[in-house]
Amino acid sequence: MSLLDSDTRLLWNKEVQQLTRSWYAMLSSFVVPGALVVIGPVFALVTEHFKRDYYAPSPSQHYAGVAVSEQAGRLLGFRSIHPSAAALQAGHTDAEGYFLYILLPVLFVLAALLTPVLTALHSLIGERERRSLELLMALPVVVNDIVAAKLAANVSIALATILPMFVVDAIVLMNVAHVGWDFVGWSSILLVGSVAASVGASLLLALTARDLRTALSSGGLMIAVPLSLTGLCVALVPGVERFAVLGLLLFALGVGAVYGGLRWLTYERYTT
Amino acid sequence: MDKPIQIHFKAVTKRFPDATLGLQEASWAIEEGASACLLGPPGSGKTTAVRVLEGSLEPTGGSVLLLGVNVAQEPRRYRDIRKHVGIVPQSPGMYADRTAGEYLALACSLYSDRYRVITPDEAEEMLGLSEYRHTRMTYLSPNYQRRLALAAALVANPEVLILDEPTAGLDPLAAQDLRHYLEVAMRDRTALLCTHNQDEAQGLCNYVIKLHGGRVEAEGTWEQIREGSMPRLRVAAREGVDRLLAELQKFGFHAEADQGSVLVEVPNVRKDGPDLLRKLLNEARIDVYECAPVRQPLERVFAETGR
Repeated sequence: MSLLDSDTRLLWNKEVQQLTRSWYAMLSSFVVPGALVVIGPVFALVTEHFKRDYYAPSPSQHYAGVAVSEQAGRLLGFRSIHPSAAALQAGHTDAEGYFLYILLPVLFVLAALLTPVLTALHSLIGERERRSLELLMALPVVVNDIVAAKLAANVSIALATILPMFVVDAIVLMNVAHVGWDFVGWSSILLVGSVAASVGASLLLALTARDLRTALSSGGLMIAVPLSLTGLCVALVPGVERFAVLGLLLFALGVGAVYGGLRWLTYERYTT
Repeated sequence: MDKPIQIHFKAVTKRFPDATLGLQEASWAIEEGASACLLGPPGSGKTTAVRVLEGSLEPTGGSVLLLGVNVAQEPRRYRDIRKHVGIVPQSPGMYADRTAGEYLALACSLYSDRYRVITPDEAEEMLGLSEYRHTRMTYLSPNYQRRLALAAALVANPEVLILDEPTAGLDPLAAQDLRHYLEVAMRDRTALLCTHNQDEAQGLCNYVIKLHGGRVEAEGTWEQIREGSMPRLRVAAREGVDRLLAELQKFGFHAEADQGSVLVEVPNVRKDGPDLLRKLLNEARIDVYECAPVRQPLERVFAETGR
């Protein structure tokens, strides 16, 4: 935490303590990413693996029963993203490739985007609504320290929960779906980029929304931008590079949101 | 030699985004060691002034100097001098998941060892909080919650102590209890107390800044403010109040009935008092049996200055 000065570090410590003491905050930190990063993908891949072993089908029959549209099969680079795709005949699609390269990025973005936004909103706006922000502002700190500590604490919790889950995911992906290190590496960049985007969205919401209800209802709008980017990247960027491009774009979006929020919005919106 | 000024508002205006004016060209100065109060009704700009001092609001006009540092223009120096300032906010919210001891420990850590002169234990003991060290903040009674906020402001033995309506919302006994601690806390340092309670202000402060609608209506010691108002004479006559009022009106004096006598405004008691008495006795032929200068109640003084 050397990026933070000593006062912000003390506040960061307080925020982490408060988040880890909150049963609901921890539950939401584990359940949403757990379902999206671990349970869903691992369940899908493992059941598919055992089904494949049992029926010994050909590679083109992976995910038998899962309907993959012709449009998805025609997406740019779709056939280059999975070893079995090249062998596919016209009219067939690669369902495992569809899962790994189209569904999985969306699941990762949702997991890394939603949870930090929700906990950050409760931490930032909840502090203001229960008026304990005034207690903090009375201490010898400035509002930048308070906001920075809260965002850093949320990022820490998000990364501390999502990255270990991703390790489990990566082990299954490498052993069951036989993806390479490049897939795992770029996926981790995507996760980190999504967390950065969520930090930007949290800050903008905290500075613009008058209360928690407004923040939660307008949160969808903030998340719509990274989700649209995800859709565009999935459609337009071929191969595993889509993870990297999307991760970097989301990271840039997060940094831009933080910069823009601090440049054009004032902390008075938060403290009053 | 004049003492250094520790809190200085220079023509400060604060306009909120909805165009509400929190402060309007407000200017005042508080010297080192003064116990000053910002006195005014709710909405007069007291809390806005405190928020400007704590850096959560930025003035839209003028400048604010705290311990010689421009609060809005010198952020680095402001961070440093904040370690010398203790602030007690108005009715702050409490953390449901932190104990009183944990909060004081956080305050101590933030003031850092370089400045801290008392330990959390000492602060708790000083304000009678020791037995509540392990109590969650939200479980403390309002009186103890305010004591906790005061303890956190005092851990660094600050040069300047700012108190925003510390007794607001407390029952009279709890408020009286807290005032005892406030009196001790305000001693031997520069203190700024924001309150709408005039008795509290008179009991704790020797310098007053009267705010109304974001403007400074009056500023000075209590005596200076009294002296600056129109003095009055209490006059009583055997002929009764009505006759007295009628005669005074004829002579061009502004007077009003009060408890069987008449209060007459005179520009200067020593100069105008004898003239008034002569007119009543000789010209109006009224049997005056009482004529004495009276101290104006402060409410009236403030009402006059606000006109």
